[in-house]
Amino acid sequence: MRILHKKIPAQISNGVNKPKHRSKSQFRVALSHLKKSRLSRFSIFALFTLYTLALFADFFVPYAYDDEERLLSYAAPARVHIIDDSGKFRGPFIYDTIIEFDEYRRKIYKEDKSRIHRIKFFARRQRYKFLGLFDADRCLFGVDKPARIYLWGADIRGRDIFSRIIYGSRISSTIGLIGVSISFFIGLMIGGISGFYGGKVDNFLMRLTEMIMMIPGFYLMLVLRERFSTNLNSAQIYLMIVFIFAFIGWAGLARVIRGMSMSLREREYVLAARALGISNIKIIVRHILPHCTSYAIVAAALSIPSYILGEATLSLLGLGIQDPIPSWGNMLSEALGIVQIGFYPWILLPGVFIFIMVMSFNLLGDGLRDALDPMFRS
Amino acid sequence: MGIGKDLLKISDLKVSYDADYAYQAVLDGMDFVIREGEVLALVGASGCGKSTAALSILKLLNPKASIEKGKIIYKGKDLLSLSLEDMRKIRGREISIIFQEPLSALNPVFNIGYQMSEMLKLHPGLDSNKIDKRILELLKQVGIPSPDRVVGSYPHQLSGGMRQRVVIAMSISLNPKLIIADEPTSNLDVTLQAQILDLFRKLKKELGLSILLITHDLGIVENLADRICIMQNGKVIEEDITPILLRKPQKDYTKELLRAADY
Ligand SMILES: Nc1ncnc2c1ncn2[C@@H]1O[C@H](COP(=O)(O)OP(=O)(O)OP(=O)(O)O)[C@@H](O)[C@H]1O
Ligand SMILES: [Mg+2]
Repeated sequence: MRILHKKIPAQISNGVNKPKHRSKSQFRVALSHLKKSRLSRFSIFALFTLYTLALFADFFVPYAYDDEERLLSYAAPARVHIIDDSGKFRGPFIYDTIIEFDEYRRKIYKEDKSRIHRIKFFARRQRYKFLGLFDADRCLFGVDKPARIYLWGADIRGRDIFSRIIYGSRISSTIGLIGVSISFFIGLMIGGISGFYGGKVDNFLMRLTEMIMMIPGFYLMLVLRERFSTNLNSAQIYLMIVFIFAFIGWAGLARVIRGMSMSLREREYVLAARALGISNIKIIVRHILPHCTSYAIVAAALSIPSYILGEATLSLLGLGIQDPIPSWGNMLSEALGIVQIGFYPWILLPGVFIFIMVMSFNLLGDGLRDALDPMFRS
Repeated sequence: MGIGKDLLKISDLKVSYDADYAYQAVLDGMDFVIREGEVLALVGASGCGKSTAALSILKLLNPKASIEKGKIIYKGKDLLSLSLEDMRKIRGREISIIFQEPLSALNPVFNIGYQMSEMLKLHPGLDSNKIDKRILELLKQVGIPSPDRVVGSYPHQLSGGMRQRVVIAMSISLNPKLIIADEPTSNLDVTLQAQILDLFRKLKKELGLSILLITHDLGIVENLADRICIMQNGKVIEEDITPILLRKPQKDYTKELLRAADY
């Protein structure tokens, strides 16, 4: 059966030579094609999970992102037991951690077996506003105070890395989407206008685009960051990062869309629309850009990773999201020393999440390209 | 039927293409007049500049083309001196044009209803209810049997004849005075050709339209055109009312064309 499934796309693409039409049914064809690819399914599943976690972060985590316990600095990931020392089944529980130091002042983690702390589901935690709307104080799991459950260990200040990763996913999961939407809006408009009008307008816009493409993105990012004041609050920093990426990101797309727009404007229905007195901007938006959507969707999915990585890099360097607000990038900045990585490898976990998210978007982009291919190959 | 005053008058029009290294004057000294309520056929061999003339009336020429001299007077106004914005108001509302290819004149991405409503929105004072009604009315007017079905279809779901009818419906939707039809039937089979020409005749009578019918086939204009202009090498070489021109052609070239059309 699997082999059969793989063959279907080839049959679909045989229809390429027929005139290009993108009615709903063809979108459905693309969608079913997408669903058939195992990698795309995996990436959709991974992204869905990550976005759900980000959206309901407050509920999934036992601690607020800035809830710290200095005594548990760099606590190791908790070991979840179900059977106690006497061999009795007790359901999931953890022991308290005792941190001692050896003669080189390295940390030694020991479990205090005198008491067990059951893991409770729908446990109480610090009050929060669920989705920013309702007061709530329950979370998926937790242990009774004063014990603490650090599933994936703690950072230098004794904050729960699990909670911070989940909260941090909010930054990475939104910054890519918002950044891409803005820069693609700009890219589509500039590309569309440039290709449609041609001549001087085209010349001016394309030289501008090339200027932006010429400068290596990373330096441009640093220079732009320098233009902003140093004491911004976290929302302002977030907006600033989005702005920087939007400023850098549109150029590549604009170039491609300009080429497409140039060839599309020669289509007879564009001439027909002009002959019917429809305004230029409407023609660009309704008659030219819709034909670029397949390309733009794929390009968008494939360029989201660079936004995520860009934010992570800025934050890693301390130029982006600032502590205590967690982002995967600034969490990793603790992992810049070989000593820390060697002793406390769990602080690298945010990197794993960056990897998963970036890879998922890449796979999704590839899947979308294959799925939409029969449509824009014509 | 009474022929009215001049609606569109083209005089001494010269248009040239300046492609990368070849300059070519496509129209040179082109003159003709269309009167109100009249069907004028512009007939000539392929490449003689018929489409160029049609496009220059609406200033839709390719950027490589330039209008070097001449006048295009519509209702007393010189179209060549209008601003782009004023020209846009002429397009569709005063003069509309139907192109050769019925398939490619419709945007494959949108359904028929959407494309027609986009047109009708240009009309002030039509709310969405009235627009929907008007679309059905227009589709019926151009002889589409089940308008409700066609409204929701995409161009590729319609036959060539249907598409051409939709294009015609769009071109009359803003009540223009003049329709330029650039070889509207050359891609249709013979029966469809006859039907579309019938439709033009009907619309002319119902709406009092003037029609500039461009074709290279003298045979199809006999029943439709009031007058015929014969074009050769970028100018009109002979013109007369249809029966006379068909029966007593003056120029050799016209006789040749007539022979080609089995006259
Ligand atoms: N975009 C262009 N660039 C350069 N020359 C062109 C262009 N379009 C048309 N021409 C030239 O203009 C001349 C007239 O073309 P036009 O399309 O007006 O002819 P036509 O009479 O409509 O022919 P047909 O019956 O084949 O449609 C042709 O000789 C052609 O070579
Ligand atoms: Mg032509």
